[in-house]
Amino acid sequence: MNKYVRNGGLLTCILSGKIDTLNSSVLENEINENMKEGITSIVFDLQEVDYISSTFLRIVIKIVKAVGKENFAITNVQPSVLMVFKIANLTEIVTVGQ
Amino acid sequence: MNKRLAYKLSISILSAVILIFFMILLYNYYISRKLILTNVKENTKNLTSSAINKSEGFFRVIEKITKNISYLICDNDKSENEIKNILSNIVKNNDEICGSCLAYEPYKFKSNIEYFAPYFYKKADTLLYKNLAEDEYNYPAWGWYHNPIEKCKPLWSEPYFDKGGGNELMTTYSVPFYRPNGKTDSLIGVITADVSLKWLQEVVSQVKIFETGFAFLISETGTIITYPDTNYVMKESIFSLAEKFKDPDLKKVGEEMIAGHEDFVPISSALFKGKSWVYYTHLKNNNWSLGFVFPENELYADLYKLNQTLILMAAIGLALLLILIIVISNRVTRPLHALAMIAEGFGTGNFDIDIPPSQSSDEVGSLNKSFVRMQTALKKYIENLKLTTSAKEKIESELKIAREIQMGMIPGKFPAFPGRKEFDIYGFIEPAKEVGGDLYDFFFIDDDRLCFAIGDVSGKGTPAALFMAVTTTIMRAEGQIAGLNTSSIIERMNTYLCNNNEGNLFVTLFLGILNVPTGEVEYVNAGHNKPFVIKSNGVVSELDTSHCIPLGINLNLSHTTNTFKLEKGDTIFLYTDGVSEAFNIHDQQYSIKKISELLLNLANHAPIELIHHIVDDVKAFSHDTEQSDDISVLAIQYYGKQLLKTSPPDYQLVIKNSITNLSSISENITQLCNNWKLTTEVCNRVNLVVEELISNTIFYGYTDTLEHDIILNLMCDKDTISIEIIDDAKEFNPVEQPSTGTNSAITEREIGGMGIHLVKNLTDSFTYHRIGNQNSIKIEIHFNKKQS
Repeated sequence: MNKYVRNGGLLTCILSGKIDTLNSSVLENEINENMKEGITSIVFDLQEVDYISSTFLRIVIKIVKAVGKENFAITNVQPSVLMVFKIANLTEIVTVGQ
Repeated sequence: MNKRLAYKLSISILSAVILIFFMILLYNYYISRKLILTNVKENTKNLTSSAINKSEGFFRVIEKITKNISYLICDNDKSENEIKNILSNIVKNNDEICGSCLAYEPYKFKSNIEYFAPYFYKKADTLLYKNLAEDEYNYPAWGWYHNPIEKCKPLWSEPYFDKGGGNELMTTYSVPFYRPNGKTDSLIGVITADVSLKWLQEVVSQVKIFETGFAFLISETGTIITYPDTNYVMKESIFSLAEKFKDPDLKKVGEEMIAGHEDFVPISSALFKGKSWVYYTHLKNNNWSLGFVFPENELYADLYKLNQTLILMAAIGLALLLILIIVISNRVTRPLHALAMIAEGFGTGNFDIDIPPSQSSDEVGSLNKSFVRMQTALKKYIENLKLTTSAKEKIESELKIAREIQMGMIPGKFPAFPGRKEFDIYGFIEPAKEVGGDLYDFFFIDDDRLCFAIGDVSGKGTPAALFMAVTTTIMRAEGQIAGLNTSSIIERMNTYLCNNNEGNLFVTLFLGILNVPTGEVEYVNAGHNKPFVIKSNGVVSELDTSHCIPLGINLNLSHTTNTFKLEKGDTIFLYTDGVSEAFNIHDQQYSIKKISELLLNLANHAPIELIHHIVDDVKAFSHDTEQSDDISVLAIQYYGKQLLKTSPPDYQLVIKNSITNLSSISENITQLCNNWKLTTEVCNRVNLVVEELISNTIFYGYTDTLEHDIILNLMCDKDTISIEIIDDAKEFNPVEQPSTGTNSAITEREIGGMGIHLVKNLTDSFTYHRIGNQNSIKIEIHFNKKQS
């Protein structure tokens, strides 16, 4: 189960499990619902995520384009997931630690 | 069609008639108009002369009376009483004269009297007397006195209102009179007669021209003296009105009138109540001008009436003409309509319609006869066509069956030997016509020896096909006698074909026997194209053979048997000249060179891939041209015993093209990776690669909405996972897709293309082939087995 924590203008999305082609559209809808008024920055917490596919990268790019690079971050990335970000050359928005 | 023709005919005839009639009417109108105008001009004088004569007569009488008095007075000296007597009598006895004065020059009446001007005038029917010299009137200063003196002739004054005498419009006639005095006449004075214009006004206003035409009178200066609207009388002049109406035409007419001219002119002016013709002439007595207004519509009233009658008659005439034309054209086109219906019947294949005979000898009649002839000819033609067609159809259906039979003689089921993993074999044949003379065949002589052959019968079509059938049958019969070698099979075939060859056909044949356990091949080439051998290292070479003459020509074949060895991964490729001699649209041959060039890139490809590559390339080359010769190809790839393990796949999964099936794939792969004891990292890689590729195919690959199978093969050996994905989606080569711009800033990134980029970077080998209508993607992922 994904959890969404709102703190002022900051939305923290604590995601879990696999994010693949099948469930990414559900995830995208959830994020869009939580991103309504007042949200200016977003953080993805991937502590519990062990698999992502390119569909997740698409969601990330869409959000970065929407809120701006400086208002977006990904934290707690697992090595297997980090590898995908590396191949896609998207590590600039990823921090491994807390 | 009938109606349309009649309609067109009616319209065009009517239009022409209307045009001609209209032109006649127009011509008639203008001629009549001209005539009327000429008549009117001629009659104008008659119409107006009475008024003119009356007016001129009126003035003449006054002039005569006044001049007579002047003669009477100037003769001798008269006493004051005598003069008064004469004047009072004039005024009393002439109704037209309202007053008369005899005004003397200073001291000319009596030498002791400076001014003397006796004046008698009527007021309310009583005669009154006044000496104009007695009050402050100062008569010598007045125009009526000094104007005639200056001009030395009698003059009519401008009309004026007599304020004292009943407010009537008056004019005064002044005559200077002289007394003979030696050689010259000396001026004595001026005698005047005041005249009321009432009578003249009545004469002019009584003039009636047509319904609303009228006459008018203007003075020497253009002042209006009579006019139907009395508001203008004496208050306006023709020039002031021209100014008021901004009417330069009126001004011009006015100028002509006061210049004393006479004319009959058309003019449109408010003064004359619209368009009208005006006749004007001047009065001889006093240069006043009389005008007569002829309203144009009344002038031409008869002409208009005549035209109306003519148009009405024309309308009735045209209506009658229209009915007549419709009736006639319907009668003329009715047979045409009937013929059109018959022609339509012909069009739908009904040739049994009775054509009513036509007696007429005109064009319709001859058309009718042509129709009868056409009907007979068409009937005959169609019958012939039916016969020919059914014969042709019979032949075609027979040929179709023949083709099925011929194809049935050639092994067409692949994989041909599912149990034999030591080699793979694939063949393809496509006759240029329904049936052809090409052949290939393969069969096991015993457990270890595979006999294979490819051949080409001379000629094409049915004869070649029959000879091919004999050849194939004999080859099978002879070949399956165990213990025979290629040499004896060929010899026995040649003997049979030579002895039973009424058609003098022959067949080129390459016949080989593969020793499956060893890879050794012995073969005889009877006049056939040299096969290619593709080594696993990519070297391509033609099989160097000495070859003998084709079979069926000569009993003495004098052939030689050759041998060579297939190593693991080697392929032998056999073909007929339909491949190397395929022509393109520019009449160029495909050539053996092209085959060898293409084969260079096809080492280590399965026979099915290799053959479809070649066939597709040949077809693309000869695109848009008719296939000239049968095409046959056969390929055998030798694996040997060791490669048994890699084929078939360790694991095969077949799914339908629905995205929901991705979860079962993921589960199966994860389970498989556990069985193979692979790390989660490798397992994720396999999962990711498979997910990206299959989801891509499901999302974008299918142009229809039907269900399709996607085959996923997975194999694993000590350090490599091989993945094969086969689908029948549209052709798409992911390997050749350009890499997405992963170097650009994240905010500039495109959304698509990321999946294939990931696949390229997560795999160690990534290849794509289009085989027939299938996409085949092969992937290898190397790993170090860490988990035990």
